[in-house]
Amino acid sequence: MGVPNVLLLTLTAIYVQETSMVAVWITLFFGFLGYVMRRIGMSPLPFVIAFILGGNLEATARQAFAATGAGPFFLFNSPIALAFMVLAIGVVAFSLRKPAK
Amino acid sequence: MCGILAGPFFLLFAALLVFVWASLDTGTGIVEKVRRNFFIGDALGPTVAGSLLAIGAMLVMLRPREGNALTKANVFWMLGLLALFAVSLLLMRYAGPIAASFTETGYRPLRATPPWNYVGFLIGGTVMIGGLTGLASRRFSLRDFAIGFVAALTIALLYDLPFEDLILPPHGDL
Repeated sequence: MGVPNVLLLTLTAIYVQETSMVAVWITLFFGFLGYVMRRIGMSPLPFVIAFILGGNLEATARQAFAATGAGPFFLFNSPIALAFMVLAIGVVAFSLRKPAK
Repeated sequence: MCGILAGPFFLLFAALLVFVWASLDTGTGIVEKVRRNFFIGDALGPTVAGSLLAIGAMLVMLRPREGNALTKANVFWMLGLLALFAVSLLLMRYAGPIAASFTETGYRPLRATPPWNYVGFLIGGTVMIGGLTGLASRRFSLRDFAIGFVAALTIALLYDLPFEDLILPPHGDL
C-alpha cells in the first residue's frame, strides 16, 4: 500500500525539479526497462554504473589521448594501464564461462 | 523468446548507431586533426559503444538459452501498468483545464488559485494510487481510491504550502 504513495511522491519531486511531464515519462521508461532487465536475468547494476560514469569516461579518455601524444594505443602505453586493460578483459571472459554443474 | 529476439535486435541497433546515428549527429569524425595535433572526435565514444553492443549481441545469439524469459503474463502486466500511468497522467494534465472550461474565465487566470491548482494533480494522483493498489491486489476498491485521494492531497499540500516557487503537476506544462 505504501509503494504507490511513495511512487507518487517521487514522481511529484521529479516534476517539481524539472517542471515537465517528459521527465516523468523518462522516469517511468527506465522503471519499465529495469523490470524487463530483471525478468530476463540481466543485472541492472552495470547499466546504472555505465550510465553514471559514461560521460566522465569519455572526457577522461579525451584527456588521456591528448596527454599521451595522441597515439592509437594510448591505453596500452603504461604497464599499469596495460595491466588494468588485461584485468578488465579477463573479468568479462571469466563471467562468460558456463558455471560448473 | 526474449533471447531469440534480443540478439538480432541489439545487433541491428548497434549497426544503426555506428553507421547512421553517430555520423548524422556528430560534427567531427572518430579522430580529428587540429593544427597538426590529433584529438578524439565526437564519434569515437558512440562508435566504441556500438562496437561493444554488437559484440554483446553476437555473444547473446551464440550462447545457449537459459531459464529466465519474459512471459506473456509479464508483458500483459507491463501493458496494464502503462495504460494506468497513461490514464492517470493524462487526467493530471487535462482535468484542470477541462473543469475550468465550464467557467467564464477559463483555466489560465484560475490555475494559481485553490482549488483549481489542485484539481488535475488530485484526480490523476488518486487514480494512480488507487489503480496501482488495485492492480497489485487484483481487486479495485473505493477504499484504495479514498486512500489515494488523501495521499495525493497530502503530497500536494506538502509541496505547495511551505514553498512558493515550486510548481505542482501539470502547471509547468500549461
